[in-house]
Amino acid sequence: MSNHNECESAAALLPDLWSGQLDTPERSSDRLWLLAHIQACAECAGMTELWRRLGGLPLVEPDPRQRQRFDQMLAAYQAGIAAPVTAGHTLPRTPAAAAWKQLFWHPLPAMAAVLLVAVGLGAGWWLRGGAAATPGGAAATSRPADTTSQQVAELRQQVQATQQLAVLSLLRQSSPSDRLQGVSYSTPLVASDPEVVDALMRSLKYDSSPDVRLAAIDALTSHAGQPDIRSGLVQSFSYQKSPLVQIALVDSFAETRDQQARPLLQRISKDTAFNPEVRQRAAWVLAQPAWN
Amino acid sequence: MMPRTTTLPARPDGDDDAVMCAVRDGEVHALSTLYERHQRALLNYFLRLGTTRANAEDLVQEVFMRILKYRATYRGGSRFITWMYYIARNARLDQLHKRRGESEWDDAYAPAVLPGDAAQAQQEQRLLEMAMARLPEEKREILLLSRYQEMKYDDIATLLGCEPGTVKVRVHRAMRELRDAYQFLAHRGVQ
Repeated sequence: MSNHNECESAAALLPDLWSGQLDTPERSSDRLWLLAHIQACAECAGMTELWRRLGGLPLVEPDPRQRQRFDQMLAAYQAGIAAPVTAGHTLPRTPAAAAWKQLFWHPLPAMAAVLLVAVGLGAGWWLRGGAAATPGGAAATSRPADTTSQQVAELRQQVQATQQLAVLSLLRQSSPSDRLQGVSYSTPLVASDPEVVDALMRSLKYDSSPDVRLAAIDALTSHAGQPDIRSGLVQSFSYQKSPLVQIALVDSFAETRDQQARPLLQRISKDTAFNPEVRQRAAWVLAQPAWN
Repeated sequence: MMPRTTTLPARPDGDDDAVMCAVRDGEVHALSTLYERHQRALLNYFLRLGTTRANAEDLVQEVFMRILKYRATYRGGSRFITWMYYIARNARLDQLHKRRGESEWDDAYAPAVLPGDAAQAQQEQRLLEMAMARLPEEKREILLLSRYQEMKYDDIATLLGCEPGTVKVRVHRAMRELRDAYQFLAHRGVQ
């Protein structure tokens, strides 16, 4: 019969025993002690037995058709990498775009500066508001609680503006992984920031990397409740040469059940100029009950 | 359909990392190797978290799609499996978000009817599956990661953003709750 204190000590060691971490010479004394405890303790023995039996539970084998599906996806991706990029491959150069590029070509110092300025402004503004409230003047004490919530709202706006700067800057970097990061940071802004939506649409149409365009589709599709985003996704199809991106867009139309995309899907499904996998995907989407 | 019993093969850690580095550097066809190695573990991970078979299969494809998509962000020298499960968890959360309101769970692990001792063993397996299904999701997940997914406690700690000691405590608590659930079901009798 084991006592409660022993079980507490065993609790710290049992996970190591189960994972094989006690199978070393340095920990042999722990192992011996624990095995002796398990002999005497039905509860710890029960858990150890269950751990062993968990390892014997049957695993479901994947369906061989899933392998075909993976191979198709990989082939489409490779075709996408090999495909020539769209004609307007580089981002449109406007004076504003050029200014952005100059400003943020070296991302880390520029972003750090932007963040510091924003944090400094926010903190200064916050302290100024706090100082006004502390000396106990009538005006200060009578300031209602909604002043604080207004301050919080304004601070939140400043943070959002900083996020927007960071996203727009990252989306213009030369490195695809920086641009991917930009797309990933954009997610919380897409719902409320038309500038970020525009930047993502530009990435979707013109970015040289299929990975970035795919990520942009994901980010935009998650907010496809907005009519502008839905129609933007449909329009962006004509800019795509990569079958993988085309398939991802077709999937996006299926997910959003966007009837605007129906004529496009019908055309894709019949047009032999498209990759066969893209055509099949479009036909499959059109055959889904949600479209009929 | 009766699932086959198997154990996952052990493999040197650096191996996956080297293959993933090759994928990152442009040899995308090498992803087939990682797919072959991990598709079954991933499928079972999603199934045991309560995802239907069809959705679990979609999720496996989605994970490898995302691996391709984000391959440029993979850092060589890290544990591939931790990165992969990070993607897998996010993919599942996204799917849950999209399919809110739809019912999950199907009986991917439903046993076939067998005679004698085999039937007894099947009954015990079924009890254990049901006990697992009764665990809160975070406890079920930590058991799945530590028991089936070739993940060390250090890897799980990285994945979940906590200390390895915390992972061990959670594993122990999850096992204690699993034992209680198993005993409850065994005493009640399961049809």
